[in-house]
Amino acid sequence: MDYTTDWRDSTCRLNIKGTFTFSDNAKFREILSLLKDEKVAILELDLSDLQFIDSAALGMLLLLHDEAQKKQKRVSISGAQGQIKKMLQLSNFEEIFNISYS
Amino acid sequence: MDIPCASPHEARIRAATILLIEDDPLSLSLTVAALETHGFHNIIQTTDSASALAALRSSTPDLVILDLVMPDTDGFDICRALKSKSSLQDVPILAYTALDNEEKRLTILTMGASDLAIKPINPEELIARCRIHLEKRFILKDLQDYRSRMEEDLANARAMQNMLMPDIDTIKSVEAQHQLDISTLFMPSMAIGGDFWGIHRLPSPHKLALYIGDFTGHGVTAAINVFRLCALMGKLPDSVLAQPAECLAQINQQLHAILPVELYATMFYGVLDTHENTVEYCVAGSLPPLLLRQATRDFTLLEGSGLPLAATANASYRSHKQAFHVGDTLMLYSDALTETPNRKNEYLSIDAVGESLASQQGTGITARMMLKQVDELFNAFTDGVPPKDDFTLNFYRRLPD
Repeated sequence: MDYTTDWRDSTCRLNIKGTFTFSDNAKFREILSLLKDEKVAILELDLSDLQFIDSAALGMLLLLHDEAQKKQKRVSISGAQGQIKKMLQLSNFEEIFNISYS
Repeated sequence: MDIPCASPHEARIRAATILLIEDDPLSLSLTVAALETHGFHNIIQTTDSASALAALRSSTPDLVILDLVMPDTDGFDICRALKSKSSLQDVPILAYTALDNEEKRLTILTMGASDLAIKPINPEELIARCRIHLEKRFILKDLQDYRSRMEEDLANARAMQNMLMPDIDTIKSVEAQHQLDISTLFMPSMAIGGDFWGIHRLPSPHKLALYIGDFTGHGVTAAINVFRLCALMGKLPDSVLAQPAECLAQINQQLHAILPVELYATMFYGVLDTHENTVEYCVAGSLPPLLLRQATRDFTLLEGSGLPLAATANASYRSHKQAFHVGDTLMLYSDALTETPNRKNEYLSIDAVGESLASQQGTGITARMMLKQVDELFNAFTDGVPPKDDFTLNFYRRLPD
């Protein structure tokens, strides 16, 4: 997994690419630490360039959501397609996250 | 003499058994004296290869100091003998020689000697080299011991985890009571993992609860969570276990209270009713099971969605009902079936599995045969690459009354 960040005011937009699995734990910690930045109010995850996600990575998204809630920040997800969209839908993640499908 | 840098293995180093193989009496006594001066006191002295090999048969030294050129042998034989025996092959060999033939010196190292010193050897240097090899030997031995202890623990944990799944007697009596033909496969990926499955008898004689699930992660953590889940399911009353939506809601609530945020479980929970010819089910983030229909020789997926267990504090689950007639088969599977990439980075589609089984419905195909077929299909697709995740398959085929 790789990602790029794009800042707009208090919104940090992350474009996440490749495959997001258990082995991306260290990278994910970097994303998690973005929430510590006082400037950030909204974290937007753009998953349109993501090809595969596993259950451990979905767990990391839950962790991200939890941290954001504790800091009264928001996490939104967009662009999920194919297997990623299927996994998010199967798990009813729209009940937890603000998800928009293209 | 003081030890310049005390090792945490100091006592073990001094007590180490050192096999010394040296034919020259003067060299032998000088080496022994040097070793004893530095506190080594378990020295086996041998002067020819026969007595050295005899010593190796009766004890396993921690270090071998080997003179390469002896009259009856060239020392290479002893090196070969050590390396060919599994209990001795990790014993470090410190060879020393007056050989100025560079090729022969290289040969002894490629044959597995740990180190080579040139005669005449300075006693201080000999001791320093001995200490280095003994320290490495003990670190390695500790790691090997630790590893085998862990493997033993994992094997025990795995046996315990297997005991959580229904045993053959339970399966047989459920088959008889509900006119079912059941076949199951459970292959943990790394000794133990997060997959689980089970069946639960309900008070109503024509109802049977069945489930399959997966905790995130592998190994010990996932397995401990499977134990926790089984413990809390064991405390749920039959009235709850008979209702998929209520059952998952209660499991969710209890798991959420004990699991860290990033850990969760997916689960399919269904209740078969052989009077009503239905399966009522709920889905907590799990993949849709496959229902094979005998009358129409086709298949359908038990679609549904729901929050994974423990993801939120108060999840509710929607229950679905699907016809399940005599002759029909329900296939439950873990995500390894459809989420293990092959060498071309493709994934096996559940539709392909359904199609391969559907056409054979009603031809006398048994649950066991279907399981074998899916297992073979999976292995052919992945070309024998073992799944990184646990692999579970359950077939439930309804037999005529």
